[in-house]
Amino acid sequence: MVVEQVINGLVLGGIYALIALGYSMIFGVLKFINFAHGDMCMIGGYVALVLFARLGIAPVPTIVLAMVIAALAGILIERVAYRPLRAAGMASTLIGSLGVSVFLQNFSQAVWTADRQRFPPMFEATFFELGATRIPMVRFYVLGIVCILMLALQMFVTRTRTGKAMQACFEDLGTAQLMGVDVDKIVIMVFGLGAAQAAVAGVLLGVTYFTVYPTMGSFWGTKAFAAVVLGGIGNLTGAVLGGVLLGVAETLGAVYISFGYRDAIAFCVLIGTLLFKPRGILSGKTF
Amino acid sequence: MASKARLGWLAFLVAVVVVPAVSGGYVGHVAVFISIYVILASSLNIMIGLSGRTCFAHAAFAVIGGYACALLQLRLHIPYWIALAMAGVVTAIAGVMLGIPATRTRGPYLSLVTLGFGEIVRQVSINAMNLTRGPLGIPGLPRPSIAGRRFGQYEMFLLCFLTAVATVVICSRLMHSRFGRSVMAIREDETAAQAFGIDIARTTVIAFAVSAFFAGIAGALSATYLQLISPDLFTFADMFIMVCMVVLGGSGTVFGPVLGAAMLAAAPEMLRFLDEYRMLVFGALLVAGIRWWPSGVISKRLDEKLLRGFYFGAGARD
Repeated sequence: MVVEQVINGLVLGGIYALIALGYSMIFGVLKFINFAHGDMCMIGGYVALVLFARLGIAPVPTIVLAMVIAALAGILIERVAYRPLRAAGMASTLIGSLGVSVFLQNFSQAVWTADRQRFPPMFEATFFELGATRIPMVRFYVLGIVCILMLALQMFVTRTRTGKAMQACFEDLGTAQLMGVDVDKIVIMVFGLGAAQAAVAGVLLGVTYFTVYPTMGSFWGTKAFAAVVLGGIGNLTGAVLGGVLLGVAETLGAVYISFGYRDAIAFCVLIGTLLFKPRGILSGKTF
Repeated sequence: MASKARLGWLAFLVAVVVVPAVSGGYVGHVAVFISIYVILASSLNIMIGLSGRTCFAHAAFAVIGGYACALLQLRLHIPYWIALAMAGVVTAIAGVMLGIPATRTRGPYLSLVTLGFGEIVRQVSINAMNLTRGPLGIPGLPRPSIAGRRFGQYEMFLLCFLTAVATVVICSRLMHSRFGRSVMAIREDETAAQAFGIDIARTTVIAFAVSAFFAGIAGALSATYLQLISPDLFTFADMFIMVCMVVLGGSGTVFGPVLGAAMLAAAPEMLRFLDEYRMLVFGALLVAGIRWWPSGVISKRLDEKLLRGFYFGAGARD
């Protein structure tokens, strides 16, 4: 029972972490909270719904295509809505992102209606037997996909030249520019990568909960934002740590304390943590 | 100059008061909500514009005010006008409770603390069944009456409108007071402000309390108008719109939030002919609007000019 709940928590936390990485990267470079970032995961979910459920494309190409489409959407949104506002300050860019979020949610509502759409099972319903508890294998597949993506991003950011340029932009955008880093290219990359990761999170949410809906992005995005802040914003390891902590705490809190107050418990823990660590758990470091 | 400005303002005020009376019904309903949003946006401006803190708690403050007003009347049988004022006080206390942890955080951390506060308030209002009746809400709130005459829609509009005017006047006086300047000094440079003897924690907590007080009054007014208080009185989406009202109108100005509230509360109504594409277009317009006016429609200079007219040319600040 406890093991099962911890694994559920890890799955949820891993999905939070995927969305959280994008929030953290975008904040790291541009210092603003992209409230439309959660909606990238909604785009991923709906793209997968169309490709996998309606057109019958295999799971892996579905996930890859969802990533590509969401990345293109993310880059397009940056170009149209955020780049013209970069000089205007954080509050204006924030309003831009709120507008984009309203637009995207109502777009999917206009195309697919406001109803929840059933997401068919993507993997066979096999179980992993552990004593008396049976854990669906899907949980492990999801965890595997999450781990692969996070490791890939970690390698990219720490091992490649472009990744190091990105780290430089996290530190100080102006100085990085003076050192010859093409900041616009980094920003495009950050939006593309972030949106692609969030899109996978959207597909995995469909796989785990068998449903996609227009406001799923803002719902899960807010949680992921909480995870980023808990871990320390602009810190990629922190985003993963925050996601996993929040996912496990929330799942265990829902089972053992109160289901109705699940999110309230999570946020009380968060505000309590910020009282003692006002800049998140892993404050002050980038990786 | 002064007399022209005076005439302009008078004409505007008369128009605003007369039009809903003549057209009534639907226009009156929109007018009530614009007034309520003017109160909310002006009070949120104390946080965003003056204090420089992007705060996402005003929907929750309004909901707290609504419940306080309703429960004080229904459970403790307190007369309406006292309950209305006490709703503001109760919400101000909630503002202090949020302000104490919030003063320690800034930027995205503060945004999350206030978002989290909103979520906690929402879940308590949904789950505390014996106090709030949960998602059903509390229907049948009585409207006030004066000299035996129960308030109809137009009287409610006048009440909300006068409260909105009072809020705008108080906020504009506050901005140029010692307190307002202290808040702005903290926004610009905390260390320097401290060196000048400003108590940072105390000033910021008071700013939260004042801001929450007006939001609570706005929530109480809208609960009274709708004669219903439920957890959905103001949602997350409404709160994001409030932030847009302040920033798109011009944060830190007196009339920016007023104009922003009028524009963004009226826009979805004016876009009704678009049916299901209404909010889609609204989102696109929001993006276009902030691209067009990146620092808000009303600039500081225009605001000063309008303010001088507002005070009838006398006692204008320079």
